[in-house]
Amino acid sequence: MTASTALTATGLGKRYRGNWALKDCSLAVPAGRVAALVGPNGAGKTTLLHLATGLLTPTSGSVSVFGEPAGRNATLARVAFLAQDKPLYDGFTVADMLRFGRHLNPRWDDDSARTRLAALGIPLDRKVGALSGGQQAQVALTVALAKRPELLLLDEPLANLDPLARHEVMRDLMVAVAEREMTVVLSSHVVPDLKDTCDWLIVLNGGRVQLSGDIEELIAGHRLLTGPVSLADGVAGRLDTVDDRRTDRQATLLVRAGPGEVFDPRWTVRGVELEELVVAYLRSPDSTALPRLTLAGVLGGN
Amino acid sequence: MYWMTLRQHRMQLLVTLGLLAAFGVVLLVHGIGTASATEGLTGHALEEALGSRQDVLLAVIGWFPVLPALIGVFWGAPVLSREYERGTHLLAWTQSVSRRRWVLTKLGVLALLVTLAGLALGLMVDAWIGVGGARVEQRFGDTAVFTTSGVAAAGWWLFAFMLGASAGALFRRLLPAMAVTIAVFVVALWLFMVNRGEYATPERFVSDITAPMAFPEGSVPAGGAWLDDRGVEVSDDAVAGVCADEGRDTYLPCMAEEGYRTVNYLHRADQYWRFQWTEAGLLLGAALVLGGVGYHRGTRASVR
Repeated sequence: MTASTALTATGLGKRYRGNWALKDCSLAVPAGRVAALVGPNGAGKTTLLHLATGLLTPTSGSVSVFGEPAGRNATLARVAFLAQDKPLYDGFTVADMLRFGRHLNPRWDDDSARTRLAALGIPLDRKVGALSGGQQAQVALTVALAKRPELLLLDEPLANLDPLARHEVMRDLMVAVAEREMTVVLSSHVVPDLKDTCDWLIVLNGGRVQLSGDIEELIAGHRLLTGPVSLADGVAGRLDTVDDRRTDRQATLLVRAGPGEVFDPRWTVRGVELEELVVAYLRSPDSTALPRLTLAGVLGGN
Repeated sequence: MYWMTLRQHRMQLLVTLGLLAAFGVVLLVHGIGTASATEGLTGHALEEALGSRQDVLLAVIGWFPVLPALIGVFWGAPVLSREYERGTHLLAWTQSVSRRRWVLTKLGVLALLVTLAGLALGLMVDAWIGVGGARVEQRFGDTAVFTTSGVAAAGWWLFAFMLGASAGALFRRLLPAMAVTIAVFVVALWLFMVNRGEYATPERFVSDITAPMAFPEGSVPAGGAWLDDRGVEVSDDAVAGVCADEGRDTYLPCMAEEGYRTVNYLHRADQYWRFQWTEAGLLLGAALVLGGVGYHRGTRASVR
């Protein structure tokens, strides 16, 4: 795996009529990763993806793709974007959509697109508007993949799909990733769908980055503690606590701690699931965000 | 990009070309019929015969000045607004073609096609009204025919297209863009029709009241006044008291007796091409401004 980054955001912000849809966003997705962009609705996921494609210009900061500013023609040719709701030209036939891609993209791979559609059983002479939702998603994904992108950005690719179509789209995407060198960033608010496919996690919440990192490292770096509430303050004072829920007797803490960390035996300690981790961070929006921590560390802050 | 533009607007293209061709056939058949029906006729008889045949179609052509509004609504308004409405701009503008090229090509290619179509209509109407040669001045005197013939027709079609396109770029929704296109078009058409006389300085014709007025064939009046015995133009109010007691038959002779003459201003029919090019030029200028607005809005970096 190369050390270069596919997508870099530095202090990136976007404001609409006084509201920050995305603020002070700094993150880097290494090349070759499949990154999940997770967050509740309105967290700024779409805004971040639109900034990365150049559909939007930043209000502050910058975003670059393979070191080049996003949105330039040369950059655009290396990036494919599948927008939310998978827009296609309804009046076009599937063949027209391929022709559209061929006319507008120098690196267009028509053969693979046709092979893919044939394998999916999608007829080329059918009008796009007459296809099922799952088939439309597949056509949209085919168009995006046939561009031969080095970075593929997908905005809620699984929304509005039935479970079977979800599974197929994800599987096909993974096949495509395995076949060629490609970085993928896909946004979703359905975490379980991402567990088996993604190896990088970005959590956006309220327009800010809460978490950005390798999923395995993140999982390994957090522990879920369950135990008597009397011990909670001690742990919370000693370790970074992401999530702290207490009842009268029992406390459940999600803390930042490696496998080597030793705890009082009265705690029940276990590792976290991806979904637990995401939910814990989303529940505490002010909680530690990795890039901030690093920054704070560099600056000598708390 | 060219393929994409033509494919996306295939329907408008085919319908417009079909209707133009159908109307062209009607004009051709009717023109040939007129030519054979008036063969051998000259002078007043020819004029009358031409008139009785052409007036049927002229009644239809009388509505043609509003046709470009349809071009604005069905060609212009959807070009950008429908992309925004359906979200396909997110697809189109993330391919390897810059947004500038995308908007420029679409507006440019469609504007060219619309202009050529309008020109075809204009030249067809010109040819049709010219049959027999005796009533060709109608294209100048009849304001509807003037708008629908020659290069002015092309100007109007282009103007309406750019109007629709820029409205679509501004509103980003099809329906408001259509409504605004129609409203602005109607106002523009009215402004042009009212102010057309200003394209050139009219010719001045002074005539004696009692002699029959003989103005050049097909000329368009551009105002008139009384001329007193010193040759000074006077207003209607100023002559209100003169010969006030005379009856209908004796009023004009009385005025002549008092030394009054009339002065008339008019544009001769041979000014047709000068007026045509002036109108087309003004419309082209307006279309360029509107196209600039559409281009600017359409290529703005941020799109939501």
